[in-house]
Order: sequence, then C-alpha cells, then structure tokens
Amino acid sequence: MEANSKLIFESDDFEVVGTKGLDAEKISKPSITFWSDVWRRFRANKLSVVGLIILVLVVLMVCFGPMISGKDYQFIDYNMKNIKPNGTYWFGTDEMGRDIFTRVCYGGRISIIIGIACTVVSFIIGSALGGIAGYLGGVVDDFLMRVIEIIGSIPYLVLIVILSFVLGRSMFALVFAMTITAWTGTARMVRGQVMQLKQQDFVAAATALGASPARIIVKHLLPNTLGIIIVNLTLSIPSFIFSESFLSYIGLGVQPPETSWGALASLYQTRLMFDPYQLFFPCLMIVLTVLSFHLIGDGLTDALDPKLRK
Amino acid sequence: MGKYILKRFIYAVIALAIIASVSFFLICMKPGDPIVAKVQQLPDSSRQVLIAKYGLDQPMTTRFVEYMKGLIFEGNLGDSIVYEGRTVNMLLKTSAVVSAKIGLIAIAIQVVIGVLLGIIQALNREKLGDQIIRVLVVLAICIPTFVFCALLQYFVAFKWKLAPIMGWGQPIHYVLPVAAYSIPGIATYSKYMRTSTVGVMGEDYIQTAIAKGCSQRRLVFRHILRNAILPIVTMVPVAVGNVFGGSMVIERFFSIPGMGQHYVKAVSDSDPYLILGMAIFFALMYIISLFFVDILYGLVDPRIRITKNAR
Repeated sequence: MEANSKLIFESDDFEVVGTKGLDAEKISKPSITFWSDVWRRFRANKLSVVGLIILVLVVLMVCFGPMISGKDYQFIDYNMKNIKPNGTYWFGTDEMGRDIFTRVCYGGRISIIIGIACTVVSFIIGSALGGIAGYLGGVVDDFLMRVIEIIGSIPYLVLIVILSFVLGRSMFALVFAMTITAWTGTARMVRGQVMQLKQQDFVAAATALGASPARIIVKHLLPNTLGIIIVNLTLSIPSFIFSESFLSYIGLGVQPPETSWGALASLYQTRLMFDPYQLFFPCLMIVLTVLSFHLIGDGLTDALDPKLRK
Repeated sequence: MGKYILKRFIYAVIALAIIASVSFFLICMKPGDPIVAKVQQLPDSSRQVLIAKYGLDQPMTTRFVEYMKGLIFEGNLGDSIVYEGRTVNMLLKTSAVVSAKIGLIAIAIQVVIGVLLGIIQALNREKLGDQIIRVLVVLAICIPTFVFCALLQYFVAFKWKLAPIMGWGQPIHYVLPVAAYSIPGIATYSKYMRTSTVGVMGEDYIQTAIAKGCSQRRLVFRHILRNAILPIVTMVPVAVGNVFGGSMVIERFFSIPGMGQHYVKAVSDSDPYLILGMAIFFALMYIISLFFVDILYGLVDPRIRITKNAR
C-alpha cells in the first residue's frame, strides 16, 4: 500500500521490461484477409466441415466413379439383372443388368450440373435486376416489383409443368423452366440489400467522384451484398437439385437415355418391393448432397456475417 | 384497411388475368397438332370435324377470346381433346375433393405437431431433446417427398402390413399419403416455430409476465404461443392454396385419383386445354391464398398496411 501513497513519480521509478530490440512498428502477425477470416470461422463449425467433406466426396465420386468402376452406364446385360450389391457391382445392377453405381454417378453429374446452372442463371438475372431496382428506385423499382409480384403469385410447380410441356423435355427447357420463377427471390433480396447500402457514405463518395450508376452497382454495391448472396447460392443449389429430382420423378424432367438422380429414383421405384437397394442409392445421393449443402450454408451464414451470431 | 384490401384484390385479379392469358398463348403456341395425338387413324373428314369442334382452325386470338368468354361468364375451364366429352370442370369436381381432403388433413397435422414440437424445443432449448429434434428436422427438410413415400410404402405397407400399399376409397387409404404429405411440413413448421418462440421468450413482456407471477401454463399459452404463432398463421394459407397442385408426387406414388395425378397425366397425354384449365385453377387457388395472406399480414402488423398504402 505504500507505493500507492506515493504521489510524485520520477522517471527512474520506471523500468523498461523486455521490449529491447523489438520494433513497435512491425506487424508481428500476418494480416488476415476477409476470406481467410471467413475460412477460419467456417472451420470452427464442425458440422459444416463435415458437410464440406461429404460434398467433396460426392463430387469426386460423381466425376471419377465411372472411370474407377470401368463400366458403361448404358451397357445392358440381361444375364446380370437385379444383382444385389457386391464386389463387382458396388451398388448392384438394375432390371436391365446395368451397373447402378455407374448410373448413379452419371445421374449425379446431370443433377449437380442442373443445380449449378439454374443457380448461376437465376443469380445473374436476379442480382442484375434487383440491383437496378434497388439503386434506381422510383418507377423502375415499382415496375420491377410488380413484375416480381405477379411472377411470384404463380404456383411454381404448375408453371414448370406448363413450360416443360411447351418447350419439350430438354435440359435447356428444364433449366429455363426452373429459373424463370427462381430469380425473383434473389432479386428481392439483392434489392433490399442495395436499398440499405446506397444510403451509406461510400456510395455518396463514389457518386461525388463521378462514378456511373453501373459502376456503383457492380463495383460498390454488389460486392457488399456478396456475403448474403453466397449463403443464398449454397442454399439454392440443393433446392434446384430437389426440384429437378421432383420433375424427373414425375416424368417431366430428364429423359432417357440421359439420367439423373430423380429419373433413376423414378425408374427404380417400380422394383421397390423386390429390390429396395435400387431405389436406395439414388435417394441416398440426393439426401447426402442436399444435406451437405445445407450444413455448408449454415456454416457460411455464421462465417460471412458475424453480426448474425449471438 | 378497406382501401388496402381493395388494392390487394385488384393486384390479385391482374395477376390472375396475366397468368391465364400467358398460359393460354404459351400452351397454344406449342408446335404440333393436338388432334394428331388422339386420332392418327381417322380419315381426313372426321379430322376436320374434330378440328372445327375444338376451334383449332380459328386464329389464336379468336380462340383466346372464346376461351376467356367461357371462363369468365360460364366458369368453363375447357374441354379435354384426348378424352371425348371430358371437361376440366368435371375432372375438378371429382378430383379436387380428393386432393383437398388429403391436403387439409395433412396441413392440420403439420400445424398441430409442428407448433407443439417447436414450442417444446424452445422451452427445452439446447437440451438433449431439442438437439435430437433439430437434427431430425434438418434431415426431414433434406429428404425428397418421394423418398418418404418409398420408405412408408416399403416398411409400413409392405413389411409390416399396417396399411394398403396403394389405392383409394377407404379411410385406411389416407394413412400413408397423409403421413408422407405431413412429414416435411412438420419439419418446416417446427423449425419456424422454434425460432419465433425463442425470439418471443426474449421479449420484455415475457419477463413482465413472469415477474407478476404468471403460471407456467398461462405463460406458455397466453403470452408465448399467441405471439410466436404469428409467422405460422401467415404460412398456412399458402400451404392450403398449394394443396391442389402440390401433391403430384404423392398422388402418383399411391395412385390416388387427385388433381396432381390428372395434371401430370394431361401433360403426358399432351392435352392442351386440360393442362390450361387445371393450371388456371391452381393459380386461382394460390392467388386467393396469397390474397388472404396479405390481409392477414395487414391485420397482424399495421405497419405493413401503412407502407403498402403509401405506395
């Protein structure tokens, strides 16, 4: 207590402890970029990492599976039909003696490609129109919102079915039918974000420096909405995979000889009572893929937007 | 409020008119002759009769006006080309009831179980039960409906023989389709209910209720449930509006003669007016439900009423 009572300090009362030879200006830790910070937070979430691992495994299997199994997905062998899973046929064979493992891999390619293609298309359209509506406001915004409202009031499965009837049953028609309503969700979200952001000072600064609206949207507003867009991307891929499997399942999606997980499920459902394993594998792949995207999406939500965390 | 409802109503009518006309032109622009599908062997003369009967020799605009007249003044949604004498209205009379029964029972089950599960989870937050239900909910959301159908059919009907594998007519036939319809909804509702209950439990008025010595029962039912159920209330009308078109997979799987089944069949038969009529009906139901949601929102949250009026 005696030291406390001393009121006047001399310079030799203080002693420099252990900073000799250290440069105070030097940054001792490597600087962390935004993305490495996101990755660090993402890694902390065990479930999301599990999701990522599942997804990588599924993608690897879908890409390289047919090479490893060395079989053709259309090769028919009536001597080998309905064989249960074994060493040669890892997932067994179907009613026409085709190797289910190879078929599931090929089907997965289509399912995942459709999921990604639809997502990309709907996000490009959605963020462009949403960005314009949010930034310009006024009449343009009103008009676009009315259009979105009307498109949003069509039950989307009904529309998809009409379009698949009108356009025929090609991959292109499928992607078109699924994206024509889906972009509205993205547009709404981006619009909301942009409307918030455009009030902020950096936008005023850019305007003052003479940046064109297009530049402000592309360079300043969209990058700032990127976090939310990415989370929505990860969650919209599985929903497209879902819709595709649904459509193929009721026979309006991918047509033979092409196949997808939904088309396989539809085909193998007829053997459910006798060979349930045939239906099991395509369904398992759908569930694993969708689940992994959901887990990743959860992790990304936390990682990209720390504000949301409690 | 009256002005707000009127505005929403006008939007609903405009949306419906646009949907009806766009679907009409889309479907009628499809290349190919719908008569060919039906009568490949018929001689040319009968062909001409049929073409004249369905007005296929008329220009598209004339057909459109005719169709819209029939739709608006007589409520006639169109005739089947593939099946002689079958109209969309006839199909609706028989099949809409079937779809509606399954859907409404399933929605009732979804809401009751979903809300209860959500509240129980929120009240026991982060405990074992909550964790288990959360995992199950995530799983249920990730599983396509047809997988539920397959699982139920294989285990309940085929292995344990508790219900018929498929078919329609007796009460027992409801079990599997209703179960398959309910599961994803239960998961969704319980997820939303949990989030919203947790949110409500953090509010000050709950603290007040506890502080004034409210019993647990009264607290849960009067204070928490009433506020937390609002998001669910606004979700239900949409689910009801989707009942008719939303059960295509289930109806196909269990061969139930509902609307979804007929719709898919109309597409594979390439029966244009049947598709059109049913699509308009689906859209009508959906738009009516959205209209109710808008009104509900307006009733529940006065702020929305004001901002939407201001536009």
